Amino acid sequence: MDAGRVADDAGDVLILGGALWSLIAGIGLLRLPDVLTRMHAATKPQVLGLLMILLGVALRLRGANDVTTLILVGLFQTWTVPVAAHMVARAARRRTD
Amino acid sequence: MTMDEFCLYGAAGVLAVAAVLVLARTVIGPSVLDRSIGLDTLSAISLAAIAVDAAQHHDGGLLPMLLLLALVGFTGSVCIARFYGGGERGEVAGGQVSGEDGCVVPGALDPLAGTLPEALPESELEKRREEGL
Repeated sequence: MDAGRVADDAGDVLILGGALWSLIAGIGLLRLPDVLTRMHAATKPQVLGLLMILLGVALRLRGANDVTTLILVGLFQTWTVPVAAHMVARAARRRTD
Repeated sequence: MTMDEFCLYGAAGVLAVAAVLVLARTVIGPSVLDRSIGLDTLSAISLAAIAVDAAQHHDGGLLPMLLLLALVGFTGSVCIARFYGGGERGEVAGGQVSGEDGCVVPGALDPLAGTLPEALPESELEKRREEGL
């Protein structure tokens, strides 16, 4: 069993795990009672799930160009998601005051 | 069925189910913020789906699309939250001004309800001009 095969399999497992986080978020969005708790559920695929999937894809593709793009995607996602979450949470808090 | 097929097709199926659940939340709301959270999550799920597709075909051709979505995907919910949550001081007449940053709490005024707020009587306007509001 060579190193490339191991990396492929590890990437597969990471991709499946990240997809399961998305499923958990879907269930949470449907079942949780208000905006702030739904935001709590919605954050999982946006950061953790997506980073796991990106890591898995990087392990499978392994090219320098692809890995650089995937790292940039992860960086931009972790920079922009908190901005949106901050604005939505602020609006939600003012609405429920 | 190999491990590759099991994991990648499984991930695609799980992402599809998750997208349907999130779409249901986007449709039933009930508030605008719930819908905007749903759309945000949907955009994260589409990012994941594009990445899974790239992994399956061993082809990085779609990865720049991921970059674009990750960069501009947040602007929509920022705009929605901005308009739904109230504007700056003086922008909304009659809104209650909340503490630290001088932003307006809309209260009874709903900018998305489709009706304009009633105009203030002249005497009230005069009083506010004197107070410098």
